[in-house]
Amino acid sequence: MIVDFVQNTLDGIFVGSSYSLLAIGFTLIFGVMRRLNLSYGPSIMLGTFAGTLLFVEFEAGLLAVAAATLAGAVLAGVYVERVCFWAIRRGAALASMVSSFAIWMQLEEIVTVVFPDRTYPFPPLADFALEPGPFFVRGDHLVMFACAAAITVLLHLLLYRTRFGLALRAVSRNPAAAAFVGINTGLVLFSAFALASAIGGVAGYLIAAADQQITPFFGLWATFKGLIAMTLGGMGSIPGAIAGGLLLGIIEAHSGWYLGTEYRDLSAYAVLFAFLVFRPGGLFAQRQTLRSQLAARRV
Amino acid sequence: MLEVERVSRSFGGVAALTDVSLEVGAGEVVGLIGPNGSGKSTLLNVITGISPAERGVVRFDGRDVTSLRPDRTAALGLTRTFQTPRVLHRMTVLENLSAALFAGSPKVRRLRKADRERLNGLLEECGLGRRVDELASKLTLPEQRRLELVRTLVSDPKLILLDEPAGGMTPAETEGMARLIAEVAARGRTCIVIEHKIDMISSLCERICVLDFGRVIADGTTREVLEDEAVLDAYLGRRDIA
Repeated sequence: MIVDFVQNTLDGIFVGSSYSLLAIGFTLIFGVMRRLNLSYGPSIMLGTFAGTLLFVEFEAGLLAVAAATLAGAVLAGVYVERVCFWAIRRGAALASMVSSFAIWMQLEEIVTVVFPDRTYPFPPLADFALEPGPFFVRGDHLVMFACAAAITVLLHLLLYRTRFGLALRAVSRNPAAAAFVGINTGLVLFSAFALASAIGGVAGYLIAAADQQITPFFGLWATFKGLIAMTLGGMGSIPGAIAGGLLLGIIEAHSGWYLGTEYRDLSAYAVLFAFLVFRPGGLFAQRQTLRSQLAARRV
Repeated sequence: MLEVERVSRSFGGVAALTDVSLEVGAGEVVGLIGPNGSGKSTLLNVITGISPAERGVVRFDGRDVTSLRPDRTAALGLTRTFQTPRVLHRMTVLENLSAALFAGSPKVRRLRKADRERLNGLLEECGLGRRVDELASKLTLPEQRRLELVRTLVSDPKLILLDEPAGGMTPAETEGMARLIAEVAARGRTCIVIEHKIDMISSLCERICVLDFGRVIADGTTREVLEDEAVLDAYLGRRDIA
């Protein structure tokens, strides 16, 4: 009983680490732009299909597939930024969100036309496993967790130890003030988008390698997982994105085991609903939300 | 140093500025006064590229900056403060200054000891030396105004535009801010100061420009302007008193 619980929690943490990466990407974009990018998942999907193309057509190795996935996701992300965000930067946030939905459909259609089959193979990352005591840990899950942890640390260093990080934080706090100290806010937003897409590309590669297959609906899946994890953790908070992703992974692992796999997604949505009702700010933004609510009451 | 030539700007059919011209020479400290809604802040927004002019030209150091973005004007050495201080609230006082240092000096890759000492020195001078690691959101309004002013100095600007730097301050705080601006000006920096506190303006500025309904109605030495009939009528309220 205890062993099952611990095993499920471990599985949840490992899978949840990839959700955390997806949520970090969403959060970076939302944090600096205050706009939601619904095309985030589909641009990652396009990257994974670039990797698949190399693997299927040219029997490329792991590194080439990883590089193609990353490059594809970044290129698609930059395209989304130019079309949905930069082009209508002075328009309402809703306009960007709706146009990112349109680009989502466009990317999905492109992939469906170019890759007409339902699923395509993706090369596995690691085919070893560890068995510490009564537990079982898949090698690719371990690599997934290690990569997610490394990216989180590197992102923290980037944000708090570099001038780009300082500029990015300044733009996310107050774009007008940042512009007046000489920061090129447009360039920072563009770079943040590319960075988020790169992180998404890594997440996409790790997930596709663990599943060893890819479908055009991966974009929808990635958008849902990333959005749910970001909302659970608290929109705009990087620590929240990490916690939200891990929490989502753990919820899915436990509900899949105790209730059955058919209830796995349903349980995640139920927890999301409960959060939206009882803790709308998420795990890490609750204090801020309470403060805003109090301020609103004072007004 | 700054030439504003027949600049006009309107919002939804309401003329905020009409054919405004203003020249400011190097080292001058010019007061910009006028009733609320006279176009003072709009003029600063036009000069700094927040709200580009519809007609007219703005030149800074001989270069046309009419349609430059705020970060480009800042990079050229033209910085400003705001009526409501725009400090980076969830960042520390030092980070607020570091952001300006990094943006202003592309060669500065990391905060070296000498840079930190310089920033600490600036903070000491404006009385924020002990609050270097505090979040800017924890500063009081006068402290935030001082931080915003000292942040403009980090990139070694040529022209500083100050939008109501003593707004909402007590007389003692106003005096402190006036002293700080005087010290900045004494180092040869060119300043344009918007302020409703005439005592402060007259003590700081040798020259005053007056706006009313988006037009320049007076421009001259402080003494001339404060004795000008049109200014007394439009701004200082003599007509109302009478």
